Amino acid sequence: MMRTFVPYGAAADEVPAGWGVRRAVRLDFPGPAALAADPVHTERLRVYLTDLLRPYGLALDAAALAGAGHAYGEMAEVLIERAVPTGESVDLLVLAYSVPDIAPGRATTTRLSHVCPGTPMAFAVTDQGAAAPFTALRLIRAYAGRLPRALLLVVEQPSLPYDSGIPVDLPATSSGVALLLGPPTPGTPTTPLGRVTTGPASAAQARTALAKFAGPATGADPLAEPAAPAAVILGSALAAQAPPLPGAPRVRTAAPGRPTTGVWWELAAELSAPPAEPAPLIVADHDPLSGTLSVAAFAAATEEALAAAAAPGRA
Amino acid sequence: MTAVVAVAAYLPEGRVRIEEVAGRLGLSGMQAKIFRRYHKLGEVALDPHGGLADLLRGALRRLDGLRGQEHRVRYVLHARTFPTVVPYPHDPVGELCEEFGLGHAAVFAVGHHACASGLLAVDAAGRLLAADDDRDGLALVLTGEKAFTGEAQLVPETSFFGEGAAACLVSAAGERDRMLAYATDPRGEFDTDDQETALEFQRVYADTLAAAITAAVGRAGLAMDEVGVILPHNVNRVAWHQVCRTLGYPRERVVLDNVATTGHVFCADGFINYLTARDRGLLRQGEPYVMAAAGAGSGATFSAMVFAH
Repeated sequence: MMRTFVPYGAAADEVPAGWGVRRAVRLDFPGPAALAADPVHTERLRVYLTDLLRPYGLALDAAALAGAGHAYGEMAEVLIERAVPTGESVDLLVLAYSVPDIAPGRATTTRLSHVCPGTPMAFAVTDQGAAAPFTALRLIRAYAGRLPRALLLVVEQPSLPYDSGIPVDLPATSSGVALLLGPPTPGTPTTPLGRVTTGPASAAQARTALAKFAGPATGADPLAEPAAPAAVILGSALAAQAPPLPGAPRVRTAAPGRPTTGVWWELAAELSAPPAEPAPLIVADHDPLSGTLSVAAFAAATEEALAAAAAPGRA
Repeated sequence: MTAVVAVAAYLPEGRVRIEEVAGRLGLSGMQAKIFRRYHKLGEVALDPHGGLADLLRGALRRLDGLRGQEHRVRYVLHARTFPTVVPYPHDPVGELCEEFGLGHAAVFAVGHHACASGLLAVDAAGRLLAADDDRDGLALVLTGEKAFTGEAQLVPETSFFGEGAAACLVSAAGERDRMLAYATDPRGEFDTDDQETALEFQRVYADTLAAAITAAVGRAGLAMDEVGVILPHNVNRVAWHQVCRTLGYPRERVVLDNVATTGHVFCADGFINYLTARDRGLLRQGEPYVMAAAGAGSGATFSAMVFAH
């Protein structure tokens, strides 16, 4: 579907009131991709990876290649089916990942645009480690005035059939999280998205930043100055470095085997069983390779958002 | 309003005749002849010794507009034709940013629009800066890749890839080359190895690319005859002549100068052709121009962007 845009700046770019996460789905994909069983594909992948590795003096582990690994296109199709309610459409689909999949030359999101209801604009954000989903969220919000119904797909798979020579934390299994974002709709609880930041930070700086969430404060911005005690979701490496957070009623820690999807996996769990007393929610992760600290603030569904859901036309 | 602040490009000195590339890829002499005589391709730019970082470094060194402004760069986007271009987790783009004093910026790749990803990156960069309400901030869009494997050397029936790079500084509030509109049409139905679908893709290629240009120009509130020049992707001359026929647009106003001498330089073509057009005096103050690309390879994306110089 042809979509046209004019540059950001008009009133049309204002994010709809109460816009945020409407639905979250998380899934493990324990088996390999169907594509992995295709010998023609495997041979094509062997050539691609062999040529990719050669200039770096690296060699392909051909035995690890055969029949292994997952394709983000296949995983995403299942996530789309589970996350997008029947009869609804999506305007923008963004795929975020760190580890390449077994279709490294494929424009997967173009295919996903074809299969996702609404034929959304679609693109991928990569090469930023665990920060990529946070950047994807920032981009989704930057487009939200024009493309309000969005789907963020955060995916990872463990097959890397070569030793890159760089220590890297690979996932234990293939998994994906889908966040359906949009304006509040009647009958659907929506968790508004607050500030999202990504920036360079050492482990020590990350600890200092996290200390901001360690106690109750009074500000309206849960990132700059946490309001009510916040529930906090931390990436596994970050949790190991983090100071105690006595002010947070719940601290969820991502499992070590989910280096990219982990915090989003926990967010999906948090949103599926919201506490009786809603509190601002912080998702934070630290990418050790790039040294990037990423933080996303989600406000608990507020009275205003609920009112907007009841009267969609109101700002 | 999203604007391009500065553009620079780098093409390695090495050139290889398309017959040599075709021979390495197992194409017949007749196929190579068709590429030369019909598509008007001649040679492609290649750097046999350098890596991705060397290509991008070449463009960054020429980006005079970056000097002294490094602290203003908030985002660095590498716009990719191929989603995976280095072994994971190697990060030559991140290392290059450190080298150029951009270690504070958020560095990431955007893509899956194949060769149209460069236009996506410009739009995304402008929106990120504007959403931050950051009028002082800049984003750096990097384009260019290595033709490291067969898939990254040949666009079947269409073109050969060449190596090179471009660097483009984007702001959310500039006056120099203001972006007026962007149109993009992802066509995932072409993501198949089916021969009939491949033929259908060839059949609709020119019309769909023309439709993207028409949509962007219309969204900018303009008519085609107000467009001074089109800065194309360098796939071949024939495809663009077909686009011109569909548009009723004079083919001599499409900057096809580099098609025969560089090959299709991934997402960098539009920016390389911008510099060619500027050097030839084809960009006139206030006059709109179009940058357009079709990205093909497991699905296709047709995109166009209108600027006012």
